[in-house]
Amino acid sequence: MLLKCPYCEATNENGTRCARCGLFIGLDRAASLHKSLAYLIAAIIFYIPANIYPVLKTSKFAATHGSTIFEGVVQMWRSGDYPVAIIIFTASIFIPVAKFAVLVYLNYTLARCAPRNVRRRIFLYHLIELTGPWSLIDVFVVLILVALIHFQNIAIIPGIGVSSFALMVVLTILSANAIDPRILGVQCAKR
Amino acid sequence: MRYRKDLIICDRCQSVNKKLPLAAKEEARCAECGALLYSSDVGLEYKVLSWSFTALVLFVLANIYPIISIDIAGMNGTLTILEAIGRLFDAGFLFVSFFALLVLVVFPFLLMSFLFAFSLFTVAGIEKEIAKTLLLGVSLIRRWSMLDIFFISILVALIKIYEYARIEFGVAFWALALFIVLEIMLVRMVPVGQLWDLWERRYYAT
Repeated sequence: MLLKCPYCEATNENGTRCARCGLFIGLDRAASLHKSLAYLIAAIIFYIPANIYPVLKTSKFAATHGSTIFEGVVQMWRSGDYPVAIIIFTASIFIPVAKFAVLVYLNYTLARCAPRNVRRRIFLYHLIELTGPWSLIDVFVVLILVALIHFQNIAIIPGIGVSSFALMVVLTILSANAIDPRILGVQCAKR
Repeated sequence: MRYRKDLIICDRCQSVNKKLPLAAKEEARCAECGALLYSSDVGLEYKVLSWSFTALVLFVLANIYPIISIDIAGMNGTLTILEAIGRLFDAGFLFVSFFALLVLVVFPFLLMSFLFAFSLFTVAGIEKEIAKTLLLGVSLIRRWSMLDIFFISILVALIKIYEYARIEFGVAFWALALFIVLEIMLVRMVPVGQLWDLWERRYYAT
């Protein structure tokens, strides 16, 4: 069987180590599934505090006002910045939820060991791999605003939601990386 | 254990394609699904050498000068990457600040220095094993450089505050923009397998 090394892209004839770069290239459906599922469950758990707690707080004089990710989108929409509201909505709300759905679907088909719709599933895999990191926009926006606005009377303070949100995004990236696109089409041996 | 230098597997549809030599400005696409497999790499090592060096210079500029400075009713604020990360660290956000340090500073820098050192060795044709280790580093961290996402975030953050603040773009803003253009052309648009083919050709002349 021909195997493509996921690291250096050499076409190997067989074996568990790549003949060019020496890294592990074996197919391990169970390990892939277990790792991906573990990261996915952790990510879904962190998704809850990421949406409940504020990602940033604005303190004006003595009053402090926090806003969650969803409130941030609503605020942008109300102030008329529609394109930005749409970007933030896509990156921080739509992509994570779509990613959860795709990861659940991929893991389910892996567990069922159903090598159907292989091409569509590989496409979905590449899609979440490509779009996943863009959810970090919200985290970096907090980073930038906190650095820019820290005056005596008005300051922007990070909220704990940003930690959960960043962790959630990293865990979904790891979950997607744990799935090996080459095993999506593997037929399991009958037991 | 052997590997086939004459075959390439398509990432999108997993079908096996035969590798053919290309003339300048040609590109090879999968016979099954049409996805890009590789493109002509005449002088690729010189391209990598010059662009990665330029990117390193731009990276230094982007880190020492302020990216933007704002003025809200006489109060000034500036943004530099390291200062922003430090502020988050001081506020007690250990995970976010360490993660940001890795994907915004450490990995982009390592990526470009690995590419630079790799192309230097490859052009000179020395130090085969070190060049291989460097390339391995490139293969492993190429997805974890996120300055392009950071750049879009700057624009989003500016839209949030442009009504109240006077905004000035610093040297680092333009350096960062150019760095990202170079990174996209050097890392995202060149399949890493092509760099490995280059390494192979240089050290195992057929």
